[in-house]
Amino acid sequence: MSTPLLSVKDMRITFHVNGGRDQLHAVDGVSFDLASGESLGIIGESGSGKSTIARAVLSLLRITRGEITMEGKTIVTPQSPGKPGNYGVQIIFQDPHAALNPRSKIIRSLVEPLEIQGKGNASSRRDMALEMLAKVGINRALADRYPHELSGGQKQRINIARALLLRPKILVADEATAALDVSIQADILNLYKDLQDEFGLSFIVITHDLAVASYVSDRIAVMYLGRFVELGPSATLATKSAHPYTRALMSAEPEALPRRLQKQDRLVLRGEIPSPVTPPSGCRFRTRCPIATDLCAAEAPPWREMSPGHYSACHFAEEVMAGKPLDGSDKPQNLESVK
Amino acid sequence: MVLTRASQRMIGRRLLQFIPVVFAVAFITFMLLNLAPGDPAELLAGEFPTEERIQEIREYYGFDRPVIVQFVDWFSSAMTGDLSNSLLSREPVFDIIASRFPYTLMMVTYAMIIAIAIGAPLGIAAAARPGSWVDSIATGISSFGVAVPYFWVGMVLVAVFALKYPIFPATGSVPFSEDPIGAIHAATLPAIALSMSGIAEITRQLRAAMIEVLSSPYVRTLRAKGLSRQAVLFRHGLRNVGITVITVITLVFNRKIGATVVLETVFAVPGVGSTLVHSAVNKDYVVVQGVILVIALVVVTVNLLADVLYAIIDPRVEAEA
Amino acid sequence: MKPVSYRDPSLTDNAAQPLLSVSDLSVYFRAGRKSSNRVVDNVTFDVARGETVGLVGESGSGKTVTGLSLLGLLPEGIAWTEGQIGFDGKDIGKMSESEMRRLRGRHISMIFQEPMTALDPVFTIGEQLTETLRTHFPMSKREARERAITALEDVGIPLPHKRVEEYPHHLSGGMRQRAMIAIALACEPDLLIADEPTTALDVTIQAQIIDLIMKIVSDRNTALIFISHNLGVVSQVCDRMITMYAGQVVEDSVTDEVLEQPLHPYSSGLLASVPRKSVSSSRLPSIPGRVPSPDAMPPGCRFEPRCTFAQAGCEAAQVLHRRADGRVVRCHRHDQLTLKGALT
Ligand SMILES: Nc1ncnc2c1ncn2[C@@H]1O[C@H](COP(=O)(O)OP(=O)(O)O)[C@@H](O)[C@H]1O
Ligand SMILES: Nc1ncnc2c1ncn2[C@@H]1O[C@H](COP(=O)(O)OP(=O)(O)O)[C@@H](O)[C@H]1O
Ligand code: SF4
Ligand code: SF4
Ligand SMILES: [Mg+2]
Ligand SMILES: [Mg+2]
Repeated sequence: MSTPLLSVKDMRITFHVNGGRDQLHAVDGVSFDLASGESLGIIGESGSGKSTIARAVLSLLRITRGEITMEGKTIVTPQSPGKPGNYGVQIIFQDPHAALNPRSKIIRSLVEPLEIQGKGNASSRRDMALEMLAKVGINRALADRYPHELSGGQKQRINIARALLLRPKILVADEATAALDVSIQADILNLYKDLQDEFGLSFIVITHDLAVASYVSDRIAVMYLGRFVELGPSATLATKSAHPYTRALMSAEPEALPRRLQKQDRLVLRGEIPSPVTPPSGCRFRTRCPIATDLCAAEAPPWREMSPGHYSACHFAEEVMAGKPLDGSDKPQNLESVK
Repeated sequence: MVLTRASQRMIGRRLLQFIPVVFAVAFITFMLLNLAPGDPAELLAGEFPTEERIQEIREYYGFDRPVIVQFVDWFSSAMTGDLSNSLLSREPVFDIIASRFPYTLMMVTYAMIIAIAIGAPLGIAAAARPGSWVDSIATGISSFGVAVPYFWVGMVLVAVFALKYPIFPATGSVPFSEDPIGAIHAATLPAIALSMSGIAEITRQLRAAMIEVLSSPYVRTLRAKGLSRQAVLFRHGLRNVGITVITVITLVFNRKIGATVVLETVFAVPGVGSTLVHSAVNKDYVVVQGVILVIALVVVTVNLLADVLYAIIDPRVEAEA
Repeated sequence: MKPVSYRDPSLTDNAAQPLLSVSDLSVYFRAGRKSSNRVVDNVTFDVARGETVGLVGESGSGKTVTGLSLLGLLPEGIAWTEGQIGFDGKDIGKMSESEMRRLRGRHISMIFQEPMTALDPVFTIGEQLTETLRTHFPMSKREARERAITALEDVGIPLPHKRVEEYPHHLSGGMRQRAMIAIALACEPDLLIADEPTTALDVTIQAQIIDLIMKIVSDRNTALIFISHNLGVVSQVCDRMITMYAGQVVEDSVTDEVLEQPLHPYSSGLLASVPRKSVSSSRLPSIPGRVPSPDAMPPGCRFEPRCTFAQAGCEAAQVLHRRADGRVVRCHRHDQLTLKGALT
């Protein structure tokens, strides 16, 4: 196998909370690879540690354990936190307004990072910026406008253009379309695909919307309370998930379908995500898992490869993958009923 | 509303800060006064001092010792309530302050009551109807109160209500313990003068705070439940601006304590403020130190009380702590 | 086929009188000294007792403003309405403020999107609940407290007798939204308006809240206006779906009918742009352009600048057509077009 573009190995990120008295492992032993041109989705409820992974990959915080390598070179270890922005990862966030200076023209916000990096001269920087705007589908005329004159979708495109100007190899999108209307979201998701084709850009798409993740990602990682619980090709997760949490997430997401085609056996998870300061023993999902047993409390389930490239951390992964009912009924569930 | 564990801890922390703050104030005052030009021993030695006499006085008072030693000596006896004796009158400083303090306290309290009684309703009424005539009046009063110096107000008041129409005495004061009515009567003009900036500040801050509260999303929920505008304003509005009220009252109080220094002199009130001025002019820095220490104690105590009130009123204090 | 731009009397004659009957509701916002914008334009719809109606459309289309105007809660001085809002046979528009107050929270309730800011931070959950009850019913404090605890229990809040003493910041987002629902439903209103109640929540918690709302409204036969931009949620919750665009109702049909066969190009465009986990990798269709701003409305069909089906006739202002099949649509081409739905 060739060297992955990005490789995260057994990463742990700990925050000290409650005045330093408690440790919070926001990310607790996460490993994954990202191939060049690949798009990885990370999903999970809020508080599961998705944004923390993003910040680590961008060297915006110090990791407690593990390492991050890029093209085989170690770039982040607990000892050396790396320098943000000096290698090819850029990020866009949920709030398209926050990243743009309200008092600067769009063009200013675009050329600024180039200036900081000392790229080109004033006029070549402007040309680069305008060219990138065209690539993300923004009319040049908007370059001399101020952020408040633009819509949310336009601002998000500009954020993407700005990130791309630094020629990253990876673009991290942290809930980047969560605040946008569906039609605008569709545009941005299409843009991701175009950028993947045109620049061979790799994506890490963090979202709580499973459909968004499935649409744009080649593979999806499902995260719960600081750990990956399942990782596999998007299509596999949609039809042959091997983890109850993934199934619950998919089941919870309402699809715009007529009643006759809607899931009848929708599984609604009880309760809420527990505090990461005192995670449950054994399997962290066991307090909400409908099929948890004593084994789940006693032992943390190992991370197992169910089929090539499809991993799951559940003691009963085989049964779940085979459609074990999660709601106490005896009807097998899993495969999507709709084409 | 009971204090939770976290608020108790917060109050505990504030109490622990109390001592270093008072110590720092005492230390800085002591040092500054010692650096100031003018030798008290020379002053005390009379009109034609001899070098021996000055030296004698220095030794008698211990002025010849290192400043730090003098400070430690003074501060440790201050802790026991002994603030040493006035250089001029030889009276114990503690007694001087004890006899003067009630006048100041009376005047400040009176001014605070006026400021709150006028400023609070005005601020709230203005916020309830922004842009209305009440609001214009409130805005007018608060700009006036901020702009006008209080000693000038004091002099105008004296000119009108003491000299032209002698309703109130121009100067002097009556001890509250002997004649409460007379004391209030005598303190009225200085208290009004003192309250001006307070009215302005309280009106302005309360108006701003209440407008913010009334535009917050939960007010829409309250209205959607069927609450009347009055219920929203008085029940929810007041409790929500509680924090601001405490903050602004504390702030106004701190400023008023400072303002007494000038105002007691203008109205010849025998309070700690005028004592401070008098002693400073006469280089009686033992009294100056004592007075500043006591004022610092009062201010720090009031701020501590405010913190305790925060913890009681605002359930979110613990979340931040 | 006869166009209706105002309430057609024949509509209500055959059915029992609707609980809510909005006709030609327009909402204006002051813009500058002399001018104003009509942000809601001649909105007309009915809600029957116990019916669940979804109000969908992109942000800025006027959903929230419509909801607020039903309660008479538009910001005073800068917004005003025209048209009739009939509720239970009475015209809300003609009601005095004190009559409106008796309606709010008692007969019509509203819950809002932001669970973090929609509750008063310095009042306990119990105080906020009992206050609603005592505003509308003569009731002792003690009795109100008992009912508050029951209300919290009804919305699935664990340890309700402890929660009544707690402040909003002690609760998670999901629990706060449950508390909001408890408050809104405490007086068993006839109509609940829920404005994006799950938008700020995780899907798992959203599923819980949807189940809760659906269960309560069906148990109590409460009518529901569910405002959302999430077509998936609306398709689960609502019998009927009203699509709004640029302040106008553009389609009003039974939810399943819209999903299978939308009549308005905008409804169809919205449906197509939702990513689906079952449909992979083809390009997501999107609606070109953006919602016009209220001060620059196209003179004809408001959707015309973005509509791929526009042709002659579209430059004229469009009226609502009520079709023989009972569906209502604002597009003169509704019986020529076969539009893509959720399944096509
Ligand atoms: N700077 C920080 N200090 C303390 N705790 C943090 C910090 N950042 C994140 N956390 C905690 O780490 C956990 C994961 O957070 P986050 O990565 O933001 O989750 P997600 O993006 O999946 O919602 C949460 O419990 C959060 O409260
Ligand atoms: N307080 C306000 N002042 C001025 N315009 C407003 C105000 N509230 C809403 N609007 C306008 O009304 C229109 C509809 O808004 P809204 O009902 O919030 O849309 P939606 O809920 O569908 O996203 C928007 O164009 C918005 O700008
Ligand atoms: S290991 Fe047990 S608790 Fe965890 S997901 Fe599997 S069945 Fe559920
Ligand atoms: S009237 Fe014309 S422009 Fe408007 S929606 Fe219908 S087809 Fe499109
Ligand atoms: Mg996040
Ligand atoms: Mg809205």
